[in-house]
Amino acid sequence: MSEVLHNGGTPPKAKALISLKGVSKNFRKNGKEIRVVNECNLEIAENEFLVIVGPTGSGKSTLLKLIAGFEAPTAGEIRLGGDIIKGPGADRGMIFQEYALLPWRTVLKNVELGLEFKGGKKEAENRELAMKYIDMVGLSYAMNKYPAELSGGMKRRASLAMILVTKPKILLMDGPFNALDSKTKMTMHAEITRIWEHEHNTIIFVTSELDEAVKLSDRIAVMNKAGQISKVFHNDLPRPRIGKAALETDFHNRFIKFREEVLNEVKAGAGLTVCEY
Amino acid sequence: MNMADESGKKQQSGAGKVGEFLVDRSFYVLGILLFLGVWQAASMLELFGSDFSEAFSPLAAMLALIEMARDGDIMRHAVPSLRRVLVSLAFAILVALPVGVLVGYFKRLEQLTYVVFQFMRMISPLAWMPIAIIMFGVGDLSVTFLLWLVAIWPLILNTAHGAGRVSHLWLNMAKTMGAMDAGILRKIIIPAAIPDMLTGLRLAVGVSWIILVPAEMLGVSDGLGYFILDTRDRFRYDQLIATIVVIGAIGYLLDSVNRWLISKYSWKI
Repeated sequence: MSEVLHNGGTPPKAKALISLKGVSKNFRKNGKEIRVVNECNLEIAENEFLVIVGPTGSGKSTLLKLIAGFEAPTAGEIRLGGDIIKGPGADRGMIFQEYALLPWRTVLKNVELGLEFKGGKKEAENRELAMKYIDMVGLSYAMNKYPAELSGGMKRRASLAMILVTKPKILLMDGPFNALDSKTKMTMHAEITRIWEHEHNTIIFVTSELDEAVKLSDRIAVMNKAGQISKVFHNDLPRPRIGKAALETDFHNRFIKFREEVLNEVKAGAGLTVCEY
Repeated sequence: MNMADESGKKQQSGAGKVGEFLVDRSFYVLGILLFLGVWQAASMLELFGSDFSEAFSPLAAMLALIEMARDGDIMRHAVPSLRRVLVSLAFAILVALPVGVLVGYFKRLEQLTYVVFQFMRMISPLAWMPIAIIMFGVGDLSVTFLLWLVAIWPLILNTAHGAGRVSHLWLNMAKTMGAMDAGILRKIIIPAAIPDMLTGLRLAVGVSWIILVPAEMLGVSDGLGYFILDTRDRFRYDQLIATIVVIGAIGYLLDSVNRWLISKYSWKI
């Protein structure tokens, strides 16, 4: 599928940091070969905020895992800065749909883990940095608790701090705010936008919620049930999109209109069936 | 312990909690006293036979215990026994931990070793006794070897189980954080396996201590197992009973240390 530009949008900001060429991924299920990701082409520029949306089972998460390097593509190639991705690396921080907290460590010690792996810094410095990010996700009051003592939302926020503290150049986020209540979700949207603007990292964000996609993205890639990227939208809504600016009528109308366009594309792709080989 | 906590919660006042705790404790003590009472009564009723019942009584055993403590017999034999168990345990841990982690982590290695390990585990180390003597001669080395042989299986199998519980999510996460193999081993796999390692250690200590006594009847000239035979040969049945009491008490203490380790270092999901 070639990229379709939306309402006179511009191509990606700069030269591609990550490029996918004809990427496919098959899985074997009940003796049948099923194609989950189907010949995807995509270029992601440095410092871009790309959101991937699509109905459940459209291969969004798998595509993200391919970029992370946890899975190898069945066909095609994924390049990062020109080199083919061969496995996971510290340049790509992944925030998982499940919680990856270590049960024998407190929230604080979990957030320190990535810094310990990096090494180099003093313990006190690590602690200070970890506490800053724990504060950012609003978990300071629970930083000495163990994962077993946390609610789902708290675990989610802790895992977020755990990855963010390592400051990866590329952030891969698989439905990171799915289980959060709406108030925490809003805080997290503001935080992730702020971090992205501040740290200039590249974010690839998978979600099934269109409001979230429209609010956060530079571009939105829509995947369909056949595992293809059916369309890529440029999101021209002005930033900031959170807080006061979002309340203005003009902005609001544009937001709704754009959301509608994306929704129609998602709906069109939801009726297709998964390819079987 | 948990029972004490539970019933303690129902009592609102602090004094009630303390009272409840003391009642709980006193039942443990009562159990010991009841046991000693029944034992004493049995020997007074000459249930162990008219010739031996007096020497078999707890009272005679206690007097013999005091005598043995004063003469230094207890230390003379308990220390070598403890040394043998601890040395063999140390060597068993040295072998079992790396093997256990590898077997638990690599599925193919687990399949490769499963039958053999389960098979070996079921053989009493005493069956190896003649072979141990042929290989190492009569003495300390044979005893230590037998104890080592009995301790490695629970350690290997439990460590493997623990290492097998390591979630792929944790490993993937560590990799995206740029962790190297050594870091993953040190910060993910080993801590993940610790609760099971400790369970393995508890089982290994228990079974080593049990096997120690027959193993020390194998031509060594000190140790609690040796001393059991020695008291028999000297017709000092009161000392024999006292030695049995010492063996039980040390075993109980060793297990308590292990239980403490487990409660301190185990994590829950």
